[in-house]
Amino acid sequence: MDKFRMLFQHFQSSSESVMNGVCLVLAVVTVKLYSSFDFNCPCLARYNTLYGLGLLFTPPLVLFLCGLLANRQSVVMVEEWRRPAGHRRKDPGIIRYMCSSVLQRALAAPLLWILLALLDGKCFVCAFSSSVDPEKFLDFANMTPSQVQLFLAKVPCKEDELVRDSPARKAVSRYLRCLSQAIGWSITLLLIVAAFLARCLRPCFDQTVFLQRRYWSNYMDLEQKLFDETCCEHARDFAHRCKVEKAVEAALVGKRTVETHQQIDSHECR
Amino acid sequence: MDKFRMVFQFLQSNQESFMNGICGIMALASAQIYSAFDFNCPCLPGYNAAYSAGILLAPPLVLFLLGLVLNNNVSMLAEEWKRPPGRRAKDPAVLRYMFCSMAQRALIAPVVWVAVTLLDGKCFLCAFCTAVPVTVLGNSSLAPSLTPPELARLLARVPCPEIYDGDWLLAREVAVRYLRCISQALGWSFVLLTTLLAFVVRSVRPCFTQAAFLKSKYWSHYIDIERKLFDETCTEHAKAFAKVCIQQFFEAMNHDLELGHTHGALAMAPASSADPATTDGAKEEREKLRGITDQGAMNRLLTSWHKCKPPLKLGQEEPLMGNGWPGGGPRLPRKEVATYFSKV
Repeated sequence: MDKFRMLFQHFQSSSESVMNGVCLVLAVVTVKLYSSFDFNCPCLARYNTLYGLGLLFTPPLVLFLCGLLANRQSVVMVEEWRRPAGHRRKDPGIIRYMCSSVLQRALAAPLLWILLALLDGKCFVCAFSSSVDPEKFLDFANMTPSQVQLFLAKVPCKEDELVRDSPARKAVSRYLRCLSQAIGWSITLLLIVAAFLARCLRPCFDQTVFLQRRYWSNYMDLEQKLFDETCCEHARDFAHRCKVEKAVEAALVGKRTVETHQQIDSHECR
Repeated sequence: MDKFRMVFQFLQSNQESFMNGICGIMALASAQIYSAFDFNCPCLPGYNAAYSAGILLAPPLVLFLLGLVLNNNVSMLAEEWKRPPGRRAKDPAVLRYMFCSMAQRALIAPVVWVAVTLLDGKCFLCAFCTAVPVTVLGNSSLAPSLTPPELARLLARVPCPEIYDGDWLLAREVAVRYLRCISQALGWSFVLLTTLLAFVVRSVRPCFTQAAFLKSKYWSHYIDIERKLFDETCTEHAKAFAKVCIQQFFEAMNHDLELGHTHGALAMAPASSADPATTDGAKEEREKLRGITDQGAMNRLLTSWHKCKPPLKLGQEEPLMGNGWPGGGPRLPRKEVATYFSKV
């Protein structure tokens, strides 16, 4: 418990830390989800591509939206964007800064899913087995084109009778998995290089403007949180006072009623 | 729990310790990723070498860059390099020290990956299976019956046991053993070399410029801690600013309602005309603001923090222009204080 409290406090120390914590949690959830998901290629000509690509892109979209939802700063940003100017000017630079930081953190989990799927290879094999060029593999020389297409559609299913223990299936599957892993590693490399360059080169452009925007976006987040807390406290005090006043009033009313009854009684008795 | 907390605090104490922790985690992660990664040799003549080279080189590059990206010192190094000198001179030795220490830590995970890959042997086998000396290891009499492309196609399938069909020429086990043995020898040599290099660097360094090294180490830690404290102070300031702003907003609303005004949001009453709240909490919040009470002043503070860092000399008598930390020392001459804090 102590361990969790310490980690929690560390992450709560600023709004950026909170967002990083949420991002990390989503990344762990993504890995867990991917490893527990039971991939089930249909092994039918037209459905393979649909299933494979659907599984490659739909969960990332869901994770992206979850990342936006879980991040408080996205709401703060939209509020800041839409509010009337009033007595406080709006700075579009700050809104852009908040937008980019929200998007960066929301994109981490989807990209992780896509990379895991590509490095694993099952999605890619399922989606593109029917599009492989049979000329690359000598094992297809003796088959008619329709037989070849049927065979290729069944490549992702190891246990199917048509392709079980077939060296041709293994060769095609290997080729596609190797391609998938190469694409996965290339994308990983590209992303990391982009992140590294962004981190290194940022201080070369407008460092003072960056410091200002970071401060004010943190300020807006804190102000929103403090305003909500202040309103909550105020509402609690208000309710408490209402209750106390009502109780006092009820007591007074009761006392007056008793007095009135006493007066009536004494009047009747006269 | 206590032990964990102590370790956690120790690792957090400065950026170098934190990076040592991250470095250890990444080395473990590197070994774990390798074992979880399903190596999948294509077993086709042209593709084997490309795939193996990719697996041997791309992940170490990714791990190296990841090690640099996760290190906050990278942006600190870039900031320190690009900032205008202002009132604080820049010391290239400090920058070099920061860069070396970052690069050293970031190199550990890639070295672990390369070592594990070579010691395991699958990558090497996949890359060099077509270069196996068939005349020495296999049936040399049957070798000339195949053209070079056919031989290459046959040998390219050595890493794939389920599709290898060349046992009549060269037993698969023989080729695999041969290549794995070379790979392991290379792996151990690599590990030995890197360890030796690390040992030599560490032992021999004090023989050269130890004084300059101590200086660079101190000032690089100082810059790191200063930046962290500045960020924490800015966050505290933002919190205090928000609290006072909201208090003043509620009071102004209350004030206006009492006077009978009913229209919407009102301006915050200027501090000079309204009576500030007299509760202790409000006073404490105002003190935390340290005199920076409007957006313009804060922006100027942040600008001059980058453009004109204060000199590394405490207890100045002349006013510290542009960084605005009053109090805590002898009072500044009144004239300068009025000029600096005036809202005109």
